[in-house]
Amino acid sequence: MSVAPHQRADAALHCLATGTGERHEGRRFSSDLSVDEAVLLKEIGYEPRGLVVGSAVYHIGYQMQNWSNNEEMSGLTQVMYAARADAVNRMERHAHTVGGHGVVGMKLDVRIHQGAEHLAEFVAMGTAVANPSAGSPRLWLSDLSGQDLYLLVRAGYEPVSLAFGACVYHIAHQGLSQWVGQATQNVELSNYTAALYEARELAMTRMQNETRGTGAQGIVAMRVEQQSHLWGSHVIEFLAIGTSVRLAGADHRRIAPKMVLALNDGASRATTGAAGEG
Amino acid sequence: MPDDAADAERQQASIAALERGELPLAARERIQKLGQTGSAWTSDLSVAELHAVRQAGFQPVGMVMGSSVYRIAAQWGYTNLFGNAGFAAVNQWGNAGPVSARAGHLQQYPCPHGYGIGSDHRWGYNWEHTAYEDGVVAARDAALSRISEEARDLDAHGVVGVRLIRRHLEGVGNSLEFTVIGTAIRRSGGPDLPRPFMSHLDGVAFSKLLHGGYVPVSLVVGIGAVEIDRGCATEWLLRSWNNVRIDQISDGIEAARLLGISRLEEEVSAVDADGVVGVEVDFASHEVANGAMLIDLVCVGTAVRRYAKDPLDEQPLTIMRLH
Repeated sequence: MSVAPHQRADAALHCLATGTGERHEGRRFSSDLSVDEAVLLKEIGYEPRGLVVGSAVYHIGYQMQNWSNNEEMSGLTQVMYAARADAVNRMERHAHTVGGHGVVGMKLDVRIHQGAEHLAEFVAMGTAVANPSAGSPRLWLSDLSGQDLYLLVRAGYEPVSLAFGACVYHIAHQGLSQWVGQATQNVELSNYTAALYEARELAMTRMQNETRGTGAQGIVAMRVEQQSHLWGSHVIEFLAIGTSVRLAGADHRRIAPKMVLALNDGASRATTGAAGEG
Repeated sequence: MPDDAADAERQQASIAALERGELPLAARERIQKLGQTGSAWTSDLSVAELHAVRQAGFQPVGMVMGSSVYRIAAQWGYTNLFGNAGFAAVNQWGNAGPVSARAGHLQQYPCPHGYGIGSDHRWGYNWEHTAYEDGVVAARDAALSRISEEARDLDAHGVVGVRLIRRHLEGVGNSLEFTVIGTAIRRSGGPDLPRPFMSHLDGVAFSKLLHGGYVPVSLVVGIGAVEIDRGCATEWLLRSWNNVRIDQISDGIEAARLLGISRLEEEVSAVDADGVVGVEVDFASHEVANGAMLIDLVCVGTAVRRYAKDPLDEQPLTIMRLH
């Protein structure tokens, strides 16, 4: 049986048989990149350097709260921010030791450890990557995936840093007389609205402030997460987080994507989710 | 009854084969039948994966499997051994005692009062469960060598879509089953390999990987298991009303994570690969005796070598869906 020559398969098997090929120079890397991400990052000149991690465990204490007031719990805000910054700094140190120029696919999570009350682990994790043809630029951090980063770079941008801001807020309980007076009406609970506004705005403003002086021109893929962690329903943490970016050159480059209309009805319903209900 | 006797004999023969490092009879016979001319190949590839594998220049030859059940040795810690007294210079059963475990990571947190006696004054220890780690690695090694054996018997170049099953057997104390199962593939006319490659990536991902200039080498595992036995200084911090960093627990968790990552990188080096992709990180913390915590990090991935530096033949096409 004759086999059609297949350049890539033959080169790959030759590399397995002899150990030779256009191998990576430098350290053997770990990563949590998917195949798609590894292949796309290679296209824009980045090589993985290693999985990097920073971890910080904090005891989250108690703060007196004023039952009937909307107010920021500044002690909690400070510790939630400081603990994340601690984890990120440790991860950055790890990224430096493996020779990374940036960290891609960063995750910044809070894990509440079972059994140990008020014990929260803050963990920052991602894959350090480097561009061998670049010098040694300032380390950038990003929670974008390899696919997003590929698009970003092709469109002429570069990531600058992960920007985040936190605000832990206490939402006032409603007084009994107020509740009785309003129970039969449709009314806006303006104290709730105001509190949510206030807290979200504080978190977002703090995130914006982080980009000052870094040369960033914008923040992409930003989101506001809202969690009560271990404080019950009236104390909520708002976390605004995103990747700040800037143009690498003078202008945005057009990517000019091809428009695709799938004729496969089932597939398009499946991928758009709610469309099936219309 | 003669049938029972024959079955029992067959079972004994299989166990003896396993102990000699060979495949059990049932596996050997199935592989032999697969290899005969005229027999159909088996695979758990989807239709899309099948075509992706063919596109990459390979064809399926058959399902292969490797399995191993291990008992994980018990390993006791400092507080359990020495009560609350703590010990300044404890030797982790280095050479004495019923278990001879590898001495691993150890970090000590002295009692700030210096005497370390009683429940309110004791040392803290972060120590590595080396017996558990080595047991998982040994079970993995046995399973991988068995799946490789099956693949080799089919003249395969490698195995794709390897599913990894790591589970505790009900009712068997401290047991661990490690099973790997996947589809062996071959390139006719390809060179002989020192050992078949293993990849937990599916057929489509395998094809993309090859296209991108990387070739899978082996399945690699990195484990870090660290027990945190709190010292009195840590207990006091936990009882406080303050928002504070807890150094002992931070250190223990970070140690487990870093151990897992560095083991993964050691395994990458051991198979002469360049790196690892598709890593699945499994992180768990368990409560163990006396309020101690066991932190367990397991990462599994496919080690790869880069064989070609050049970019893809064509730039990826960006599309915009109009549903």
